[in-house]
Amino acid sequence: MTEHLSRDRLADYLAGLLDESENDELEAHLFSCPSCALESERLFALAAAIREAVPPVLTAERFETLSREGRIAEVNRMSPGQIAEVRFPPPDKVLVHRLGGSDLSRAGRVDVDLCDLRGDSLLRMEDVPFDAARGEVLLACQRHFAALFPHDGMFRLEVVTGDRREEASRYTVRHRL
Amino acid sequence: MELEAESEGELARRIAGGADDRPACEAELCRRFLNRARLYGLKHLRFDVTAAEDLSQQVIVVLLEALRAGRVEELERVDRFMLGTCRNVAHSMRRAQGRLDETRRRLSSELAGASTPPWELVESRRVEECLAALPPRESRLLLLLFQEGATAAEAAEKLGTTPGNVRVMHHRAIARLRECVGT
Repeated sequence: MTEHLSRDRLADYLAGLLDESENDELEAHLFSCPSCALESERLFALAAAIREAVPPVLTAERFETLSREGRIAEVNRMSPGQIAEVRFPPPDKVLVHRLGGSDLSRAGRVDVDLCDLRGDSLLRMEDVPFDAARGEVLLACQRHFAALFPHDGMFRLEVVTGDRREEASRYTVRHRL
Repeated sequence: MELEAESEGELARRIAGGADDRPACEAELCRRFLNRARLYGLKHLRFDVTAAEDLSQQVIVVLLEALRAGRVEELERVDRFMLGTCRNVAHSMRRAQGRLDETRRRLSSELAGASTPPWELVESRRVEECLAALPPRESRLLLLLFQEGATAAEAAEKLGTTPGNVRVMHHRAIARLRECVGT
């Protein structure tokens, strides 16, 4: 490989989308081409940050990984209609709101609306990961959210099936520092 | 300053030949290769920055010891020696899940630190914010690929699309994320 690496090619390499011989070829180029190595540093950094990122709604797999890494400070299990009081987690940990007991069995898609206590929407998260069998959505709360959102809030789960949208459940959480 | 203009092969030759400016040549070669070894470590050690740092330091020490002892045959292609050493060290680290021992860490720390580690180039919280701001399918795709190690076929199945479209979506998502993060 003599020509310089394209960003798309490098992104595919970092995402594991190249085969072994393509990986070998790309790595040989990276080691022999100082300008490509330098250019690629930010993309590598981005890939490392994506890998470590904690999204606001977790898949079961990500939840398991965070548990294994000891990054879960607390799991707040909630049922529909419940009001819970919790503490924000330490800066390097995650508080997980386990919003269960909803009927998500027919959901084609689930949206989560974070509202203030009056019901005004603050943040809408569409098409989030959910466990249909358990009727569960896993929300990840981090310490720095304390500076971004009101500490008392409500999560509304909405089920979207075809053209139809309906509220499945709501959960109220009061966060304390 | 003048060493910056020299090729990596020339620097390797001076180190191997015991030139008067060998310490400066070693520092310059270390500066040039350190981040390349860190990048390799990131990719091959599950983006674990501590392991990537360990690998890079270990590889640099192996390189300098080999050059001093005249064990690098193709000095002009010292990059190939580096890549081969990265592969060997990553392999043994994956097998042993080991860390650099203290002696090596001390020795290498005298030579390393010549450049900013690549993982410090972006702010992780900003990446989280930007991931959350992406279209949901793009954000989900990036997490599938980078966190869950999904193949293109597996990601395609989960997102109800084709492997070819996964690549297109992936390129678009990375471009959006770069723009948002400002990197």
